[in-house]
Formats: sequence, structure tokens, C-alpha cells
Amino acid sequence: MFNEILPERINRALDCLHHKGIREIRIRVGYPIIVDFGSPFFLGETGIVDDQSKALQCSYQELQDAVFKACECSIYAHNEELKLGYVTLDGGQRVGICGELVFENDHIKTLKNFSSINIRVPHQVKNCSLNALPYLYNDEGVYNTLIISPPGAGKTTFLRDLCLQLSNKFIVKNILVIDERGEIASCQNGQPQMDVGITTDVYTHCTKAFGMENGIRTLAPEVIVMDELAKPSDIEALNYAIGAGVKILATAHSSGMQEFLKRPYFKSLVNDKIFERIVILSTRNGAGTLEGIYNENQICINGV
Amino acid sequence: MNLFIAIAIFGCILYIGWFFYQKTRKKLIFYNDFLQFCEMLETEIGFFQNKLKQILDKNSYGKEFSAVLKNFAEKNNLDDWSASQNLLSENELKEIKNFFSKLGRVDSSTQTTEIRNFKKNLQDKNENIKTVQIKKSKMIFSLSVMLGLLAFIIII
Repeated sequence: MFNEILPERINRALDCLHHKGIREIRIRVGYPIIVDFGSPFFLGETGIVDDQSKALQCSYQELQDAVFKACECSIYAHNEELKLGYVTLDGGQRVGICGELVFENDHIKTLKNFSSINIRVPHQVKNCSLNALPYLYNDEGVYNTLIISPPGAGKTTFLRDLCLQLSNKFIVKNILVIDERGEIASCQNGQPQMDVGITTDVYTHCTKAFGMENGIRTLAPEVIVMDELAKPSDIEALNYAIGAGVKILATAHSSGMQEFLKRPYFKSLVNDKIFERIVILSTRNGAGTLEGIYNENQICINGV
Repeated sequence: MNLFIAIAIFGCILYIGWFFYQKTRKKLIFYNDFLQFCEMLETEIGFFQNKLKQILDKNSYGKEFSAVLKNFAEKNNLDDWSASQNLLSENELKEIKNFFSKLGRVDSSTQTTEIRNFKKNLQDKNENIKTVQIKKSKMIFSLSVMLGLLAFIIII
């Protein structure tokens, strides 16, 4: 948890706040600490402050120590995650880390001289996908579904709940979650810290390609759940799974359908009608606002 | 009365000699333990990439070195630690604290390189203690026995 890695004085300040509402804690060396409850606020000694000059700051050494503790005092053991710019804490809290990249033979060797961190605190919001659920499956099974939203709009929370509903309502017999960054199920010592359903298997910290290939072969899932389609290799892995007859639930960053269609890799997904349903979320009325559900012909079907 | 004083002085001189010998012996044990620890670290970090906490839990070393590991495990540094009975010189303390201050803070290839370099230093030190310092301390002990006996005879 974040209070195990942060300095005592910052923990004391955070203890004055309602922890459950915290979405992000942004710490930058030499700059005011910002806590995000949906809106950002400066963190002072006794909690929220309006005046930037009264906000707490984190020193360079405190930030290095925080990342060191986040890596369980063994940076080498978390180096692969560090190279990707994050580390996952107990309870599924993801710490995004900025710093200086070290290259060796044109490959990223490690990250050092950390300059800022962003601690994202996940929240399980059960039943948040219920409004959308009836549109996402039929008698023959689940539709290939893509959930699109800008950052912080609740894609992962929605995806997690969708997985939970499909599993616990026995709409799907076997689900495989490919939890590349440990944010969906947040497994710790083999135990998911977030409820993803009773018929769900979880691969943690593995690539989508590995998860697809091995998972399909060994776990025989009907549905594969994955977060953040971003790279061509993700699209390749996705096509492999669809070719194997497995249904996909995935997410992607985008402010909306128009912007999504501008991205070359994703445009082909929509044009080839790979995804039968596209769910668009936003933060218009708070995180998780359902803007619309579209079918493979880009027609809105839920009347929003 | 003279006999009592003679025995007391003999005992004191013998104790001083034994003290020097024991200090060198403890230092040898300390550096042997440290060397074994570094060898284990190389495998645990370079190959298994096990976390430091797991590695430090496998603590089965002598009293002095165990104290180092316990201190490091509790505080992630050795700022407050100092060897008992002035076992180590200021420079030796500084070297050890410097080693531990970097432990766990870099990627595995850099870490294993640092461990190997430090191991070389330890091996040289170990060799020095075995060949030079232990011989010296044995000589001091022998000398103290002889001096003690001489004092005993003179007083008697």
C-alpha cells in the first residue's frame, strides 16, 4: 500500500484525508504534492490546502527511497516493470515512475534518478457495468467488446466489473484475464485482491501474446479479458485469439470514437468489424459515465 | 601475597595477548561470512532475482555478521551500525556501509558486477588476515605468554 513506501510526514498528511476517495497521488521532486479525488488538490501538513506555497514537497532522496521501497528494496527484482515505467504495490496500486532511462546496446537497461511518481489507487465499483451488460451478450455468447475512454474515466473498473458479472452470473463458463500490469485482478501471492469472478483465471505480469497463446492452449477460456490495447503486437495477439474462436473484452485509450478511428491500427479493428460492440465511457458526469454502446456498424444501440 | 600479584599480572598480560588474537580471529570469521554472503548474493540476485528480504532471511552466519544483516534488514541502511569491540577500522566500516548502501538499488547485472568487485576486495582482505594478521596476533599471544611468565618469575 502507498503508506508503506511514502515518508512519515507525507503519510501523516494523507491520514488527515479520506483514503477511500483518493484516486491518484502525484509526487514530483521539488514540486507540491497533488492528491486527486476526481479533482486535484494540493496536500498540506493537515490535509488539503488551497495555497500552493503551503503544500508539502518531496525531496529527491525521499522519492528515491519511495521507489526503492515500492520495489521491496530490490530494484533488480522489479527491473522489467521499471523499464516499462511502473511498479505494482500490494492491493493493486500501480506506481507510475518517471526518471532517467539507461540504455545499453540500444536496449533499455534500467530506470534511475527517479523524478516523479504517480500512485494510482484502484477502486472496485461493483455493478458499474450492469447498465451496459444486456447489450454485450446474446444467447450465443459474449460479443467481442472494446471499451474506449480517456485516461481516468473508469475503463479498467468497468472491465473488471464486466468480468465479474459475466463470471458470477454464469453467462460465461471460463474467463481468462491477462493482467499485464496487475491492475485488473491485482493478484498478490496468487490471490486476486479485486473480485473478478468465480470462474476466472488470471495471468499476471505477462504479455498479451504469451497469455493468449498459452492460455488458450491450457485453460480453454471462452472469453479473454485484457487491458489497454496499444501496440501492433497487441493487435496481433488479439487476432490470434479471435481466430481461435475466443471472445475478447478489451480496453483502449481514446477520447471518443472519432479520435479512435484516426489511429491506424485501431481503425482497421473497427473497419474489419473485429469488435461487435464498442462501449464509450467518459468523465462527463464523473468517472464511468456511459456515453454510448455501438455495434459493429458504428450505430449506437443503447439510445444514449 | 607475591604469588597472588604474580598470578594477577600473568593473567592480565595473557589476557591482553589473547584479546588481540581473538579480535583478529573474529575479524577473520567476519570476513569469511561476508565472502560467503557475497557468493550467495551473486546467485540469488544474478540468477534467481530473489528479493533482498528473502535473501536476508537465510541468515546463518556468525554473531558479528548476523548483526550487520539484522541491522540492514530493519533499516535498509547501516547508518547506525558499528562493529563491536572496534573489530573494524574506520575505513573498513566505511567500505562495508558503502556496499550495503548500494545493495538492491540497481538492476541485476550492475548489482552482480558490484558484488563481484567487492568480493575481490574481500578475498584480498581475507588473504591478508589469514597470512599476515593472524600470524601477527599469534606472535603477540606467544609474546604475552612469555612476558607473563617472565613477570611471574621476577615477582616470585
